[in-house]
Amino acid sequence: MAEPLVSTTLEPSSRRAVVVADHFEDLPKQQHAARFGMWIFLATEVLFFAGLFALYASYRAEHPLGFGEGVRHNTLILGSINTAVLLCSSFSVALGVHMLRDGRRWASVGLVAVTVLLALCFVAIKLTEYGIHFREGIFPGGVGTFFDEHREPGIKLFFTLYYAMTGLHALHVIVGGSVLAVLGWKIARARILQPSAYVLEIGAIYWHLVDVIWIFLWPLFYLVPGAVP
Amino acid sequence: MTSHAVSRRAIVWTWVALMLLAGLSFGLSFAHLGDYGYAVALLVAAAKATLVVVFFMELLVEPSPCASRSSRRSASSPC
Repeated sequence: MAEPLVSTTLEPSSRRAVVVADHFEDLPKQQHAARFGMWIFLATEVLFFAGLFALYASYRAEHPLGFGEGVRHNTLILGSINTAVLLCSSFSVALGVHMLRDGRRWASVGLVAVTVLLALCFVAIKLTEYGIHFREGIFPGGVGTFFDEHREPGIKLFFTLYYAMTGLHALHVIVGGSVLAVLGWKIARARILQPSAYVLEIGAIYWHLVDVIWIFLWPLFYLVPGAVP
Repeated sequence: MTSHAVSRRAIVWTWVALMLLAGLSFGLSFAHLGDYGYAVALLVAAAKATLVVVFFMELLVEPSPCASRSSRRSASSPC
């Protein structure tokens, strides 16, 4: 049985050692299992969103004009700013993992904090977008005065899918941002240190997946109006 | 310094490339590409996703077990 591993690279301020669980032979094996577990979870997330993307593809093929009209009525600028926000947040958390691996704890804490702030920024912009749509009379389920004037077939489906997919994505942003906030706090309190950098790493991997999903949502809901009727 | 699977320079350049590709997508949305618009936008999106997965999520490079210096040096350890 492996005895608890006490790292020699810990900062003197920390009394907490990195402990390898009994059922792992050594730390690299424990890290590998953690990473592998996160990737399996991400695979289920991809399957989950793939169903929604398939729904989008089939409805869009059926109603190209309604979906094109929907894209033209969407909040292009706010959606595009949010793309930049998420890309920057992925960058900051990737750099945060890098810094923690180098043992630069406070640089890592700062970068994770920036990531969490960008996550909040994203959610705030997203809610602003929803507010704009509500004022225009666009509600989920094709309810609202907007649809009295815009009767293209499929435009109700477009906005219902828009709320469903961006809403679910926003939920993931909230969860991912919360996870990173907790990890950042633990790093600041020296509960996660250089030898346990993989813990921040798997949190960051989840965050990157949230980014990847948005990378595909952005062109589908904001950018491509398709053929002009 | 520990050895890194992905260098800091690569992380910075990945971010620069992502922002440029996002700018390209944004610009192309004003071009009247008709039905090709989907294909182009999704190709750019796929390129961005690939960059994130390879350089940020480190999918292709298994971080070296030696990257964390806490690993014990033993006969069975590759370090």
